[in-house]
Amino acid sequence: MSEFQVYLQLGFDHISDLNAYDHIVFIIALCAAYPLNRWRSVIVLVTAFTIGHSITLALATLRLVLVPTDLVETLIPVTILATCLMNVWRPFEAQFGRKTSYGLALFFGLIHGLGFSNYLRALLGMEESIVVPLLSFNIGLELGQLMIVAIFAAVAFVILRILGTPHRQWNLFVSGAAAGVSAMLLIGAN
Amino acid sequence: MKTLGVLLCLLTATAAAVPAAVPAAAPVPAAVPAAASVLGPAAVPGPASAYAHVFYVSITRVKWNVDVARLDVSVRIFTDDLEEAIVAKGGPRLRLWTGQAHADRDRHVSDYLASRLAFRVNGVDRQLTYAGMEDALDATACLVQITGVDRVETIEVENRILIEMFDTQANVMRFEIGGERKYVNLSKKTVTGTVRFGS
Repeated sequence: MSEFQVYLQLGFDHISDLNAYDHIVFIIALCAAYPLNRWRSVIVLVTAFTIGHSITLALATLRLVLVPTDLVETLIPVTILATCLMNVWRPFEAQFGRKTSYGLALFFGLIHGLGFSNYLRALLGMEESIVVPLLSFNIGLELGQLMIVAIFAAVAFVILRILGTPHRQWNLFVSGAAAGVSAMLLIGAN
Repeated sequence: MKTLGVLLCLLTATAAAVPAAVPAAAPVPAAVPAAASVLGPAAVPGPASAYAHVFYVSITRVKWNVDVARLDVSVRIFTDDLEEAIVAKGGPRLRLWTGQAHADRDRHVSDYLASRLAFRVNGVDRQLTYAGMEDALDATACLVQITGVDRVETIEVENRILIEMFDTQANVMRFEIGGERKYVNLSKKTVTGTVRFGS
């Protein structure tokens, strides 16, 4: 197995691990506000999130930033809750435009990246080159996220197209559920 | 409008909290154990934190030090997981890297590694010699050695670290032998791997 394959798999497994559901819930919250015909926007959004994630992961692994784990664990559910509130309050993008929502996804990615970074840094230590581990880990994460998007889209297809549920109802249902989970995470983290 | 207010508060808090924390913690190594110990076993009773952001991985590096004919093995394990595993085996809570670390911590860590990690070099089972441990922030780097290794053709390894604790535990192994670098990714499903060198 190559170094690339090893860390790609770690990234993919991490995102698809049902025990690490905070990431899954965030991705679902990110998707909820978008109707099926906006799938391109969702992919850009998820990729913006991964880019933000990669930036802090790299900075923290290189020891350029250090944020206490408990603070990050409080901030992560806050990002999920904020995304849900924006979905419900009024799809954020309609208010502030597409670029702002991509920027916000990137910003939330920065916070989520900090969540892994303390762990990955602790494990990688002073390994000579962390470029390949970091890059492949993040590509694995992105692939895992796109898989979650695909599964979510398949469920959404059934609900919206086959059962004919209005998108707004679906959005409220999913965002409400995700907000509940993030509130529990927030309580658990403190 | 009320929702908007809450939202803005959340966003502002998020934005303000991150940069504020960075300069405070970054340059002072002394601040690190304090920050890490918030989530450590002393603060969190029970087998696991209530938080869901789990990451079950260990990384083991095996490097051949040809000058002294020795394999140097460094096993990085998350400190809280390692301590839980030792408690689960009936051992004491080690409280590593705190002021109240257990006096026999080295023996317990060494025993745990010996029970979970086995090497066969060039077809021969080899003893692991425990050589200490180092604090690596959230993780502990456990050092073991295999002496009298003047050539390396094959290494068969069995790694069961933490698989008794977590179903999704991944144990990455990285071998660096005379300029060749190889990786094996082990888990509960696959606990053994073989790597060949110089072929």
